[in-house]
Amino acid sequence: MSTPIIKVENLVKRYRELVALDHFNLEIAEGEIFGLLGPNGSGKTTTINCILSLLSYDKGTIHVFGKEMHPDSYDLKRRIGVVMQNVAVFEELTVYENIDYFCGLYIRDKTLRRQYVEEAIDFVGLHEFRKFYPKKLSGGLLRRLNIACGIAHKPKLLFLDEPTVAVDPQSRNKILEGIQELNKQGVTIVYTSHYMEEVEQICTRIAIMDKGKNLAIGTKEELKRMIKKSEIISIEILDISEEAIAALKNLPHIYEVTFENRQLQVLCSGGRHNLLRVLNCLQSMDLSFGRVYSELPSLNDVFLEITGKELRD
Amino acid sequence: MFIHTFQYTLKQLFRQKGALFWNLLFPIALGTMFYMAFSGLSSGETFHAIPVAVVLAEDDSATMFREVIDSLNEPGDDRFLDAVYTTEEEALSLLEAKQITGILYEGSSVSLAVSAEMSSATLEQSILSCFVEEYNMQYGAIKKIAASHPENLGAAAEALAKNTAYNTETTYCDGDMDEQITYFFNLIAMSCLFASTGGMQIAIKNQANLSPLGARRCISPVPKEISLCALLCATFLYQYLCILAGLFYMRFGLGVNFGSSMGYILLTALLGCLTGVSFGFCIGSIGRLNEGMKFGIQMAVTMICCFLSGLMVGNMRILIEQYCPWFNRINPAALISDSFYSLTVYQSHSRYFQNSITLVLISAAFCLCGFLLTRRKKYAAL
Ligand SMILES: Nc1ncnc2c1ncn2[C@@H]1O[C@H](COP(=O)(O)OP(=O)(O)OP(=O)(O)O)[C@@H](O)[C@H]1O
Ligand SMILES: [Mg+2]
Repeated sequence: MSTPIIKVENLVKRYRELVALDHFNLEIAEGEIFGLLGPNGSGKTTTINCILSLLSYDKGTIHVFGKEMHPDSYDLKRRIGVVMQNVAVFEELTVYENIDYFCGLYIRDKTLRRQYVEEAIDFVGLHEFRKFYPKKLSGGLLRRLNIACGIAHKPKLLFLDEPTVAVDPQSRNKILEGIQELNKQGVTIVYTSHYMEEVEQICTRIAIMDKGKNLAIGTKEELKRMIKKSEIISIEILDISEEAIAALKNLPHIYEVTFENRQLQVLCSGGRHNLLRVLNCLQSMDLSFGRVYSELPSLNDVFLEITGKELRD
Repeated sequence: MFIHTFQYTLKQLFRQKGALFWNLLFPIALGTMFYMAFSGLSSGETFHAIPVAVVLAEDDSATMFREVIDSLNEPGDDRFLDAVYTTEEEALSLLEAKQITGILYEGSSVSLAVSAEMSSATLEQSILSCFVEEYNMQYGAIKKIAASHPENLGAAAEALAKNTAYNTETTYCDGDMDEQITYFFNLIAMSCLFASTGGMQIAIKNQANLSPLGARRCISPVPKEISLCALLCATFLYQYLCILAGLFYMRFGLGVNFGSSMGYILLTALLGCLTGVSFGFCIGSIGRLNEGMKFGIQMAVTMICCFLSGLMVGNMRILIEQYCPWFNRINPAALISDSFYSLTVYQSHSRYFQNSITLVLISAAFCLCGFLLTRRKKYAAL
């Protein structure tokens, strides 16, 4: 890996007694879409704010674009875009003016700025609303304005802190596609979200964090390989005896079997042809069954196993 | 970047309807109310000699004071004082009976006592207070001459007597005698201090730990100082325009006579506005107090300052002058309305400039405080 675009080493951040970041390490290479996953309060926003030099921290070093980040590293800040978790727009300015204002903090040239603002409006699809005041926008539209304000100046490095909360699926897809498009144009992206599917869909690398610690890092395939569970088999069955369940548990690579609401669930770790083996076993015991599903683990399963809790909002 | 922020801040300010109400319509409405309340009373009264009691010092050594009083007491059109020499008890009972406006005590310097209950004689009280101040100043000068060049004493005393007499005619009597004008002065002073609301918003909107918008500004490549200066300038300009609108409405809409020194009046409004904005900026910059709390402090201080300078009770400022004069020297509301007095009633430019300089110093102190408080660039928590 060439010099990483973001390098965080041993970052410790305390809010009084509460340790929000505990010797946190992170390296993000140029051109990545990096996903930061973690349950509420795990320190995602804190990490971003530390990288941006908004928050003071107790220990550790932070390098951005290969240089140490300070509050007055204006040349670095010029290349960074941020979409904050909290919507921050001016009530008294229209959609267009808001984007123009924030863009103008980075871009001096007026004609270039106009073009950038138009592109940002296109990006989030706020064309019909350009003359609206934020008060008149719905929650989702407001979020989209918030995104536009953060990306209008075409940063090289973009932080998106849960940008798509409350955005409807259609617009969300458009935004996700837009983010991938930006990435293709060479923008490095740091993305936090509660929507596992989003992260799976767009992120090239993912870090899973909890309680301020970086628990696992890698591509989604790597992450999935890290966990024990590799396949989930669900089978509809009217009734099944304890012996049959015990027999299933004895099959190789199967580590958990549960039966609930006429649903038999078999968890497998590694191995091939697990489904076939399970079905053969059931048939040998003369058990008739209905529909059969086999799923690969999702990031949620990865999450569940690593942190011991569900990542759901 | 400066101009960009400046322009957008102005745009925002003029679109804030609530603020526009407080900054523009409220003073205009209050001014109109004053005007209507006074319209029956105002009768363009001519100046009457001010009734006072004079309590001389025991040893009766300083004849100069007596001479001055006597010269001001001479019957005629330009009679300034209607003085009686009494003992202290008599004087107090006269004051209690409201037969006199004030008591002049002769001591190492001359001092004045007025009654809090006589709010109807505000203007007379303030004229007396100004007279006492000027007398003391000139008397001090003469004492110095007496010490260093006793041979010139006679000439100096003569000059003083003349000077005072001269003041009597021009300063005290030609100045605008319209009693109601004091309320308008105080109203403008209040508007100036109300500008602090705008100043407070500056601090809040520029601080990452006080608002998400502040955080957003902090991550931009615009240095904080530039952004702050742009905000301060825009807010100041906006507030000053509001006050100008109010002033012009009073002058040309209501026909309030601010005298001939309109230029100086505009300057005072400008300085007052500067003080207001910087005061708000300073309060707004105080750490992590929540916004409601800051607003409360700012409102309370503003209202107390205005009250003590006589917005509600006309003669408050003179009472303060009597018991706690240093407060009048630093209370911005008092300084502003006193500047107006200096221009129209006392016509004392030295006093006017002294007030103006104090206002500038106060603003500078508040601004400095605000800058120091917001200097920090990283925050412990957002
Ligand atoms: N201003 C603050 N003062 C004190 N503690 C804070 C503050 N901000 C955050 N914390 C604490 O720090 C921890 C990390 O918070 P952070 O906002 O970084 O979480 P997050 O991962 O962004 O969560 P979410 O998914 O809800 O946005 C939490 O336990 C939170 O309670
Ligand atoms: Mg967060």
